[in-house]
Order: sequence, then structure tokens, then C-alpha cells
Amino acid sequence: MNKYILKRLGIAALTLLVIVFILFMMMKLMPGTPFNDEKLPPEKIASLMAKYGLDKPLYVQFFKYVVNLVKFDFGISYVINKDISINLMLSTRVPTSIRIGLQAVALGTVIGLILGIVAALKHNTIWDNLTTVISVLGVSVPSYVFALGLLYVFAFKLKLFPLLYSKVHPFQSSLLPTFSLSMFTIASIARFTRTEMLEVLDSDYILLVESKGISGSALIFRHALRNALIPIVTVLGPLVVGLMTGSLVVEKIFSIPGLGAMTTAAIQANDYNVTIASTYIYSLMYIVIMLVVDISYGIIDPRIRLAKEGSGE
Amino acid sequence: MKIAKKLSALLLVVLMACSFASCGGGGEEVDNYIDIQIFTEVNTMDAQYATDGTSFTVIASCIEGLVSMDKDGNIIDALSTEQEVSEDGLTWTFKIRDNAEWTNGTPVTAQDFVDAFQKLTDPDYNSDYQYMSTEIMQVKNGRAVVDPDNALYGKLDELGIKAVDAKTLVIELEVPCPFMLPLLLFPSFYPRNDAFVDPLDATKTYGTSADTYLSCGAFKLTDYEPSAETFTLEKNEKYYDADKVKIDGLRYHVIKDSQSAVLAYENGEVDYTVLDGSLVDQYKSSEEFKVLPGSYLWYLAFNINNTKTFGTNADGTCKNANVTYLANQNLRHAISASYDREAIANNVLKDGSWAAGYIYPVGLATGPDGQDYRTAVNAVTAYPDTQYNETKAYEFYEKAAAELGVTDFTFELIVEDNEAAKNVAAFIQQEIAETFKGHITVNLKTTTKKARLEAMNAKNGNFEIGLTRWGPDYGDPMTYADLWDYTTSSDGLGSGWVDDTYSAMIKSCKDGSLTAEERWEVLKDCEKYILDRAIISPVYQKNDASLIKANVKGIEFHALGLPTNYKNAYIEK
Repeated sequence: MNKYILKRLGIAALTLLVIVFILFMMMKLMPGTPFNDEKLPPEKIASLMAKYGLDKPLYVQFFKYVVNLVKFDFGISYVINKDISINLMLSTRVPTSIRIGLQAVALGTVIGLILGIVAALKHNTIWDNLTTVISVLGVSVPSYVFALGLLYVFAFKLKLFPLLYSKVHPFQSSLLPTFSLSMFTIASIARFTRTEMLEVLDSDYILLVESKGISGSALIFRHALRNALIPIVTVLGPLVVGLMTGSLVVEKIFSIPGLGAMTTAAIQANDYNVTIASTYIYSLMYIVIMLVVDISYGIIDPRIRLAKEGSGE
Repeated sequence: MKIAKKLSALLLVVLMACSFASCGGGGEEVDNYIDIQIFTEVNTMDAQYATDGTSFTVIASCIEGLVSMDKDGNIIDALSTEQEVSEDGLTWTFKIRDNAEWTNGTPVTAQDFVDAFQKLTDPDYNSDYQYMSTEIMQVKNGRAVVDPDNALYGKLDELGIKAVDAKTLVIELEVPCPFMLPLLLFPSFYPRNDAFVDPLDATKTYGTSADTYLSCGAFKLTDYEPSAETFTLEKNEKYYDADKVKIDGLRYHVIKDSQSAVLAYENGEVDYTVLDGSLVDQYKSSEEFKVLPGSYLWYLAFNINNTKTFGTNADGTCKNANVTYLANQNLRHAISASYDREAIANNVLKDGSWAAGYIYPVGLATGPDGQDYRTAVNAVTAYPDTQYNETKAYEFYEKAAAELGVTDFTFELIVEDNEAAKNVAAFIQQEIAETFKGHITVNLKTTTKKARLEAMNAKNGNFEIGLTRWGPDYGDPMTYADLWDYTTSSDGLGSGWVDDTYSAMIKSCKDGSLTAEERWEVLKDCEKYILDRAIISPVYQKNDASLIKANVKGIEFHALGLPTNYKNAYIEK
């Protein structure tokens, strides 16, 4: 198992390097420079490029960037926060984004599982149909529509929640964004759980378990759900990442000082370092999550763990 | 069924707990703060480094300049109490206010202004607004200090600004500056306490929090971090005029989504918000709806002869045939007269913007006669060819077609990906197609703003027609006029138009050889010169539609120079 994890870590590091390279090249290929402005003549832009070392050959810039990146120094912002260290900018934003993302995943998974289990147990009843309707809505309606809807009803009309994110009440003001972000997760998890549970409940071994006299929650949680979980964990990885990208718009609507808001501002401003830093963090999160998903397979299902150990030799 | 019941009960409990938890935060607190919505984060709190409107407004609430402006636009004392100019107009002497101090207790001295001017001009610091001191104010030796080939390069002590004593500041100029006092309203010229700033600057932490920033104005930073989405300025008790400041502070909220912004306004979470054009119809009749004066001019720029990207043929003409067509004055006039500016302002933008058949915006500058430039020069009568007139436009087209021997034209119009700009461009496209019955077609090319500026700058000229804008840096027509003088280095625009007569006119306004009245007449001629030749086609002067709560009074908005001033604002109880 350890060997397997080490191998996966190595691959992850290599992937990150490739990602940085691609990001770096993409930034350079974007039209314009960070300094294009009505007020700045070409000579001035050139002198600013020189000030930040952007006139040096690409490989020099790239090498320097990677060396600093390894030291977790993302450099300074050129535009959106002139000459301010990006680490400082990230230090408050990354935790906010991660917190809201995790809240949404947690909420979405719990509710999704509940709905899915109920739908499977009450197959072909009103509960089942209700779950299907919620799933279809959750999958097809984008999160920002929910965001605006929730904002309008619960914050504006009913005044139950604050309208905008506030540092003073970080939890309460993050509830509406969490709900709107979790809708897609709820829908996907509910759908998968329902399908998987139905399949598992129909299988011979559940019949065997039942014939041994086990029923109720023990049957569902210890035998049925555990077997149904594997495909669900698989979809959970991409879902988490989906939450992070979906949060770009939701962060804008609720004015959340998160990573997404900063990324969009940086891309629009051609702020090279900030764009690379934030997309790099997205990639890092993605890779870490995929790693966690892979490892958690083994924990849920010993057969996979054993197979991996076998192939790891 | 049992499980289902249990689970739904649990769900209900969770939901209720959540909504109860929020009861504390959602309520409206009545306090003496003004809540302000802004669309973008503050870029930098460094006055000498800032370039954007949001940063300038926040900086100007914290730091004052030598002079300020009252609500009617008159220049009044601020950190200086006396302003004197020598007979020849070259030496200005300012007496710094005695009771002015920074928030850390150090008095504001003449040296703080020397520090600021030197920093702004410093070639190593490379501020975007360096040219405000070297080219616009023309501080003595300014150009030499930033010219790498000059012996004075980098010698900031040679700059014509001196602290004679702690409270006496002398600024020497290369040539008289007829708009010196209005120019000093610009935040780039605000004081800077180097003893405090320099150590922080070295670690790139100046102005990143309340502890790393000094104020000497009506408000001080109390809660801030770089690109904060919400932050607070509190009343500065050490401000010399603190007695007059009636509010406890300002709270800024970055709300980028215009829908959310309006909901926040309706909910009472913000007191002042800028309104998106699409929402104007809903609020037009409200008492709280206000149109605030703006000063950006949006116009169509033509690539007349910039061949840097397209290259030239053997005979010197541009390889891109469309650019050679645009060199035809009648064709440019045809395009300029073909679209309805009023319709753009009233039906497309709807934010209170004005149709502009002119260059120098309304409210930009007051002449020696004490009249606003645009009151004195009526654009509709002065520049009939720049006004919308379909028949005339078609006549111009026929002349151009005969001269060029071409009947059908297709141009590319480059526009940035902002909603308003795209709508305006699409409208112009449609109007041109209708006016010329399909003989002139315009295709839109949408890019990011940065890419548009890159394509349209003088170095590249990689465009045919572009929808672009220019905002004034100071209250004088020169801020627009010298854009089309190919000899000035501040030209960021790439028409490729070269005209020595025009450059001579601009030069005569800058070298101090004319009296104020003569200079004013030449500036009038400059606008006429450009519009008679349709070098550009002005479209509209951008104003801002906004909502301000009825009980919030006394916020002073200025079209240019001094940013929005909250010093005299108050909340009616």
C-alpha cells in the first residue's frame, strides 16, 4: 500500500509540473500583456515588462518560476493588486473557498445519500418519484440559478439569511452559497445511490443476509450501502472539483472573497502570476482529491486494495 | 417508512437550526456608516502607484492633496492654506497647513510632498502615472530625470520640488501650467511619508492592512487586506477638519454582480450602488435614482495609416486595403454620420450617458471666460458632419466610393467583451448596414480589453476600426487634444495619423508662448481640426446611473480630478 501511494505521489508531482508548464505557455500565448491600458504608451509597457523580468527568454522565466513555486512562493501580482505578494492574497482566500466547497460536499453527500437510500427502499412510491424530480432539477439547473433564486427568496424576501457573505458571520452567510453549490452534488449522489442500492438490494447475497435474519438498519448500512458506495466515491472526486469551478459564479453572486473571484479577475486582467497561482491551486486540489479517492477505494473494498498491492509489485 | 420519517425529521431539524443561527446576522443595524457598493477590489492603496478609479476614491478618503474641491467645483484649501504663483508662472509656493498630521502623530510637512513627487517620477519605481509630473505638470527637470540618456537620469534631488522649511513647499515648472491647481486634485500628487512607507515598501507590505497605512484625511483604514471584498474606513479623529465629518465611517462592499448589488441595496445592506443599464427602466422614476456625471468619452478610432502589423506595399500604402480606404476622409465622415448617437445613449445604454458629437466632454474644463467649454462650443452647430444624418452619410459614401473606385466595403470593428460596449458596437453595426443599404458592412471582433488595447496601440495598429474610450487625467482639453499628436510619447492610440500642423498647434499650447485666452482658442481649433477630418468618430459620454438612499446626503461627485468625496456626507435620521 505504501509503495502504491508513493508511486501515486510521484505521478502527481510530475502532473503538476506539466500543468504549470502548460499554464505558463497559455498565459504567454494570450493576446496582450498585463500592462495594456489606454494610458500607457508602448514604450512604457516595454519598461514595465523589463521591470518584472518579462522581457527575458521564456525558459529563463519558466525555470525561475518553477524554482520559486517549489518554495511555495507564487510571486507578486502585476495588476489586480500591484506588487503585492500573491501568497498574502491567497492566505485568506483559499481557506474560504475550501471551507465553502467542503461544506457543500458534506451537505450534498449527506442529503444525497439519504434521498437515494429512501428512494431505493421505497422503490416506485411517491418518495422515489420525488427523489427523481429533485435529481433531474439538481443536475440540469446550474448552481448560479439556484444561487439567485435562494438569494431572492431566503435573503431578500424572507430575510432569513444575510444577502452577502460577511467576514463577521462567516458561517451563516455561507449557508446560502453552500446550499446552491450542493444541489448538483445532492442530485448526482441521490441518483447514483438509488441505482446502486436497487441493484445491491436485488442481489443474491442480500437475500442470503435476509435469510440469516438480519434486517433493518444493519442490513442497509452494513451490507447494502457499503457495497453501493464504491461507484459513489468514484463520482465524488469529480463532483468536488465541479464545486470548485462552479463556485466561480456563485462566489460572484454572494460576493465571497474566495479563490474563484480572484481567478476571474486575474484572467480578465492578464495578471500572469495570479492566474497561474490560482489555477495551480485548483489543479493541486484536483490531484489531491483524486489521490484520496483512489486510496479510499481500498478502505471501502478490501478486494481493490489487495489487487492494487498485487499489481504494485 | 420508519427510516424515511426519521430522516426527514432530522433534515428539518438541521434546516431550522441553520435558519435560526442566521437570525442574528440578517437584521439591519442602524448606525452612522455609509455602505458603498463597488464593482472591483481596490488595486493598491499606494497613491503614487494607483491608476484605477476605485483605488483613487478610497485613497482620496484617507489622504488629502494640497488643494481640494467644494461641491460646486471650486478649488479650496486642503493640506495647503496658501497657494502663490510667481509672475512668470514658473514657481509655485505652498504653505502647508499647521494642524495637519498623519495618523501616527507625525505632522504633515512639505517634505511629504517632495517624497511623493520624487516617488511618482522615480524611473526605478516606474509608476504608470509618471508622465503626470514629467509631461503634464512639467516639473522642472522632470523629463531629464526619467531620460536614460540625460546626465540627470535618476537624480531625483534635481527635480524641481523643494521643501524650503517644514511648512513651505516650492514647485518649479518647465513651462507655466494653466491648470496647476485642478491638476493637484489628482491623487498621484498626494503626500507620502517616506519615513513610514519605505521600510514597508521594501517588504511589499505598504498599504496591505490598517497597520501598514497612514492617513491624514477625513477617514482612516481600520479593517483592510489586499483585494478585500469588504473593508471599513473610520472617521479620522486626528483630521484637521474632524469637527465637520458627521459620519462614523464608510464601509465598502465589492459586489460584482449587478443583480446582487441591487438586491443588497433594496435590502438596505448598501446605501449607494451603481446601476447596470439593464436595470435602469425599473428604477428610473424612483426618487433615489441619480445620474452621476462621468467624463469618459467612447469613440470609434480608425486605423488611418498604421502599417506596423499589416506592412506596406511598394508605393507606401498599407497592405490591408481596408486601412487604405479608411485614409479617405469622406468614407470616415460617412461612417461617423451613419449611426444614431441619441438612440445609443437612450435606448442601448440607458444609464444617463449622453450622445457625443464632440471630443472634450461636458464638465471637463472651464475656459478663461468662466464658462464650461461645452456650453461655449455647441457641438451640434459647430460640427454638423459629426452628427447623425443618414442622407448626408450616404452622400459622403457616394463621394468616397467615387474617389476610391470601390462600391462595397467590409470593415472589422474591434470591441472589448463588456456588455455595454458589445451592445453599442452591435447597434452601430446594424445602423451602418441600414444607412448604406449593405454597401458598407461591419463585422464585430470581440476580444478582452487587454487584447483590444494591445491590438490598437501605436506599436501594433492591428485593427481597422475600434470602439475605445479615453478618460481625462486633468481638467483641461489638452488631456484629449494631445492624443492625436504623433510627437507626444503619451499617445497610447494607434491611428497612425501624422499631421505636422496639428502637432504645431498642440506644441504652441504647451510651451507657454500663448496667453490663456489665445491658448483656449487654439484648443477649440484642435477639436475642430480633428472632427473636420473625422480622425475619430465620437459616440457617447459615459455617465453613471446610480441609486443613493434618500437619507444619505452630501456625497460630492465630480466628473474628474477629485474622486467622490465623502467628507461632508451625512445620514439624515
